[in-house]
Formats: sequence, C-alpha cells, structure tokens
Amino acid sequence: MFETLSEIVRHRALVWSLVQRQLAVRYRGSVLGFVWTFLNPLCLMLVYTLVFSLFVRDPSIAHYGTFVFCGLLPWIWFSSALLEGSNAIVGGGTLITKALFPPQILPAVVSLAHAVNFLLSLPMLVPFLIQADRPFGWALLALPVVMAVQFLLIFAIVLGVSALNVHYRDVQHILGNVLSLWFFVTPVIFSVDSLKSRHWIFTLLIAKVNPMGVLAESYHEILYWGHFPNWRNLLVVFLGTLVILVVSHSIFRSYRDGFAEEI
Amino acid sequence: MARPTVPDPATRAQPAIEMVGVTKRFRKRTLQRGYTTVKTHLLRSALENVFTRKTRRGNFLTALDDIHLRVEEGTTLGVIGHNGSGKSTLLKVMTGIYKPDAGQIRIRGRVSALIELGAGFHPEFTGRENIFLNGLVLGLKKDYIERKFEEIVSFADLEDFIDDPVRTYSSGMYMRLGFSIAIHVDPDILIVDEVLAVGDEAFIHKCQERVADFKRRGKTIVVVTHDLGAIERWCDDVVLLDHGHMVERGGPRRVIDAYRRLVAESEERRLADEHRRVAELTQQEPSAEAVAVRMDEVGAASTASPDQSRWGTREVEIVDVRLVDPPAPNDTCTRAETRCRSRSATSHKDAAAGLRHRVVPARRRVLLRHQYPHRPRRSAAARSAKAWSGARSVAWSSWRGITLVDVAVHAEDGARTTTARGAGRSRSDPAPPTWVYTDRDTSSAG
Repeated sequence: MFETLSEIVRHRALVWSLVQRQLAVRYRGSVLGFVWTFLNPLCLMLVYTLVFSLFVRDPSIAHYGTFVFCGLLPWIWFSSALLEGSNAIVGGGTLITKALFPPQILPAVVSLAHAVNFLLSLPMLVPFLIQADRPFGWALLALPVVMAVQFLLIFAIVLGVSALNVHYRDVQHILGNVLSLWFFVTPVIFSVDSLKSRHWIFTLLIAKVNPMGVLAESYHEILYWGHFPNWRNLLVVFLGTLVILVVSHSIFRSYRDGFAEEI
Repeated sequence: MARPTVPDPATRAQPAIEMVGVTKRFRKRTLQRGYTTVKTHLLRSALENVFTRKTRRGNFLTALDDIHLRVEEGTTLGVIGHNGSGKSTLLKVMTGIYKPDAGQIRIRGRVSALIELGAGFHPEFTGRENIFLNGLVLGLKKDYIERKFEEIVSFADLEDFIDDPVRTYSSGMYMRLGFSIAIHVDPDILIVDEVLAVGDEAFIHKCQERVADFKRRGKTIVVVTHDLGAIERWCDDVVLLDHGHMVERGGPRRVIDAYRRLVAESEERRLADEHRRVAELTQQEPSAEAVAVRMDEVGAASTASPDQSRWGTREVEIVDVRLVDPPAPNDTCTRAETRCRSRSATSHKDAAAGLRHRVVPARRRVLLRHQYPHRPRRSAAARSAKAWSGARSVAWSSWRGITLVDVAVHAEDGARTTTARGAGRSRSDPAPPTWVYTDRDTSSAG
C-alpha cells in the first residue's frame, strides 16, 4: 500500500498538472466559468433553506440558511468527488491503455481537484457567517484537521470505487443512488441535536457510524457554533478511514493489472 | 578444476529485454466489450451454483503463447506478423502496460514507448501545456522539459502554433507534436509501434534520422511495422509472430521470407475454402424451402445487380443457360445446356462445368413473376468467338413448373471458378418458356 501511495508522491508534478488540467477543463468554454463553483452550492442552499425553513422549522437554529450552508459545502465536495471519482480510471482512457502510467494517480487527482474546489468555495461562506453574526474563534484552527480527514476519506473511497467501476460499469450508477440516500442520513440540513427525541439507534447511525455525519457535525460545530469538534468521534472516523483505505487498496490492487485491457 | 571461463562475447552483453515463457490471454468477454455489471455478476454466480459450473475455460484468447525472447543491448529488433498475431500485445507487455498471465519479463533501462502518440493530450489545452503534461506522463522531470522545450517545438515545426489549443491542430500536427515529445524522452530502449510514418516526407526523414541516431548511440530499439522494407533496412534481428507464437527468428531476410511464405499459405487456404464453399453451393440438394429462398435471390439479383450472384475470377463467363430439347407436355424430363465464353485468350481445356437443376412446383410460380421482363440474349453467346458449349445436364422431375439452374465452371484443380444461376420455365407449363439470367454479360451487351 505504501508503494501505491509513494508512487503518487513521486509523480507529484504530474498529479499537480493533472489537477490543474481538471480544474481548468471544468470551466473552459462556459460563460460564467469559475462562478459556477459558487453558484451551484448557493442555489442548492437556497432550495434547502426555502423548503426547510418553510415546512420543517428547527427553532434551535436561528440562521437556518447559514447553518445548511456550513454543512452543504463539505457535502458537495464529498458527493461530487465520489461521483466523478468513480469514473476516474475508466475516464483515463489512453493514459491507462497506451502509456505506462500509475493508475492510482487518477483517483488522487480527482480527490485533489475537488479539495481545491472546496477551498476556493469556502470564502463564499464568510459573508453569511458575518451576516448571521457567528463567532470567529480559535475553533477555526480545527478546520484543517477536519478537512484532512475528509480528504483522506474521499480518496480512500474513490480509490476502491474507481477500480471496481472498471470491472462493473454500473458501480457509478449504484453510487449515485447511494449518495442521494446518504445525503438525508447526514446532518447537513438538520442538526444532530434534533435527533435527541428519536431512538438512540438513529443518533448512533447518523452521527457516529456515518463518517460524513461526524464530519458534517464537525463543520457545523466549528463554523456555525464556534466550538471545537468532538475529537473522539473524529479520531474514530480517522481510524475508520484507514480501514476503508486498506480495503479499497486491496480492491484496487486486485483489479489494477486488468485496467489496460478492460478500458 | 575448470579454469575461469572467458565469457562468450555473445552472452557478455547484458540483455536489455528478457522474456521467459511470457503468456498473455484476453478474456473474450473483454474483447467483445461486454462489461460485467453487478447485476449480471450476481445472476451468473447464482446460476452457476444451480446448474453446475459452466465451463469458463475456452473463454480466453491467447494473444501471446510462451514467448522466450532475449534482446541484447544495442540491437534493433523488428517484430512482424499478420494482423492479430500479437505484435502490439508483445510491445504492451514489454512496456509494462499489460501484465503477462504467465512467465517473466526483465527490462534493463529506461523505456520509452511510441505506441500512442500524444497519450493524454487534452484538446482544449495549448500545445505548450500539452507538452508539459505529456512529458510528465512519459516520466520526464519538469525542469528537463523546460530545457528541452524549444527543441521539442522546433522538431515538430510548430513554433507558430504552440500557443493554440491542440484541438485546432491538424492530425499531422498532432502526431508531430506527440512524436517530438516522445523522441525527446531519451530512453535506453525505444519501443515503436507503427508510428514512424507520421507527417509529411520531410518529417518522416527527420524521424528516421532520429531513430538512426539512436541506433548509432547503441540504444535498443524494438519496432513493429508492416513495412518490410523498413524492417530490412533497420533491423539486426527479426521475430515473426503467428497467432501468439514465435515461429521464426533471425536475420531480416530469412524471417521476412518466412513471413511471406506464411502469408502465401494462408491465402491459399482462404482460396481453397472459397472454392469448397462454391462447390458446396452448387452441389447441395435443395429442400423446397431452400429453393424458394434461391428463387428469391435470383429475383433480387436480376433486378438489382446482375453481378451479385456470380463470383470467381470470371476468366470464363457463363453467357447462356437454356433449356434444350423441351420435353413433351406430359414428360417429366428437362434438359439444360450451358454456354460459356472465355474472356482471356488462354485456352480453358481444363475447364469443367457442373450444373444442377431444381424444379419448383408450379404453384410457387408467383415468386418468379416479377422476373419475366428479362429476356434471353442468345446472340451474345453466338457472337463470342470462343463460345464454348458446356455440360448438359438432365433434371428429372415429376413436377411441372419452373426449373432453377445453378451453373459453375471451374478449372480441374478447382481454381478460377465462375458461377451463375438461371431459372426457367419448362414448356410443359402452359406459359411460354421464359429465361431469367443472373449472368447477363454486360461486356458483350449491345
């Protein structure tokens, strides 16, 4: 596994220019270009704010739109990276079939490109936080940690899924459906506190077992409430991510020799 | 004790490439682009458990079978063989793109593969950006690319276009850029797959010079091409592949000869197959169903293109097929005569004709109605100087109706076959005899 990862580090110049390529490709030729990075989550936030502040109002959250936005940005990072990442190796085309190219670079590139995208979209949050009069405190120092864990989680999943998708082409469609369910069991549009009245098993599944649940809650804690996140939960997620990485890597390794033939 | 052995000069040089028993198989499913989906996978494994294990073997295509190959440093190895003989697979295994299913491969030195030029080029990016990207893909360092940048651009003759997006390039420009980058990798082993023919004459010369320079510097080159002249010019050592087997290896002359023999043999086999097929077609006993189909074919052939139902070299052409000696109204015998015309001046004394009649019941007549307008051209045969009357055949039938005649003329050894079909109505039918020719001789028309 370390060989797989060190190969990525060794090719960092290549990885970086592929990331640049991917970011540039996304916006070349579109009129609004880079603005779409902001526009997409903004529209989504408006939709959710509209729906949820009108119909199911959570009285404990004063600035619901801002609250949703804090969780929505990381979620968009997560889901779009997974969706695009599942196709990373298949989409590699001639790089895989005609050149000697370490295939694990492609999932890494997708994960990185989406991480950069997320970073670029973060400043959009600032005016909302100021408008909602949210505290900016030391807790923000924990943000990079949470992001690092999320990045690792994304890469771990994408590594395995992209390899599986070469062999089973419907993995990406299955993943798309899983993600739409996943969104609603992740505390993005609701808070973990609102689950207190439910059965304990809900809280366990949504806020502890679901790694994105823990991460989304951490973002809410840091950005919206100005608290430090629950470090213990975060550690569990980190360890879980390592397990996923090991499993993903073994999937990746068992399929990688066939990539050039099957694409 | 043995004295210290002086290494044999032939074995002293370390091999640049060494393959031991390399075997590569492809799943047929993969070749046919039938991807597994999770659904089919689940279904298949469920079914397999129920109805004993279905044979999974035999589902493989062996592209390379037990290849042993040692390429000494500094040699230029040519790989030849017909399409699908495993040449490209061999190169891909050498570069490490494919992993062999069995056997081992050892490579000493840095490999650069000109298998696909411009792998990973992105059309939206400029030539400049793509040089860096492609260079990195080929394993170059960024500062190395920066140093070589001008050289790459000038080699490709793209100074004026380097800041335009690659999608605006002509295919020649695209290939030139790809080639230029790949050639600047400066490898120890250069692997070339049929790409030395990119660009115009001047560029090809430049490429060949570059490859010759490689050779002078003692680098190892492996080249796949169908250009046997190039093989003879460049290679020290040639390998001939046939269906994944290495059938010949040695000097260019000898192996090229072997390849030509192989091609000739397979061509002969193909011809023999064709003749057998023709023979079968003209010999087969028709069932009522088959005849109906045939009649239809004749109809289609005579209305659409008169040449569709004939094949062979047409050195001898059938110009006329007709019923002779029509039987009496209640007779059940029909006789037909074939007239052929030789197209070339050579004599065809060894020619033999075979014909077969099928008599189709009168009630099937409707099938042929649309063929009536075709009229016989007996005069064509008569005018031909080399007109030659072929076999006479008698068809026995207890039916009154339409006679279908298939005729083939061939040399005694089975080569130079010419065939034609005709259909006619025997006089025992109330309607007047009408002939349909599928072998209207256009050359003698008029």
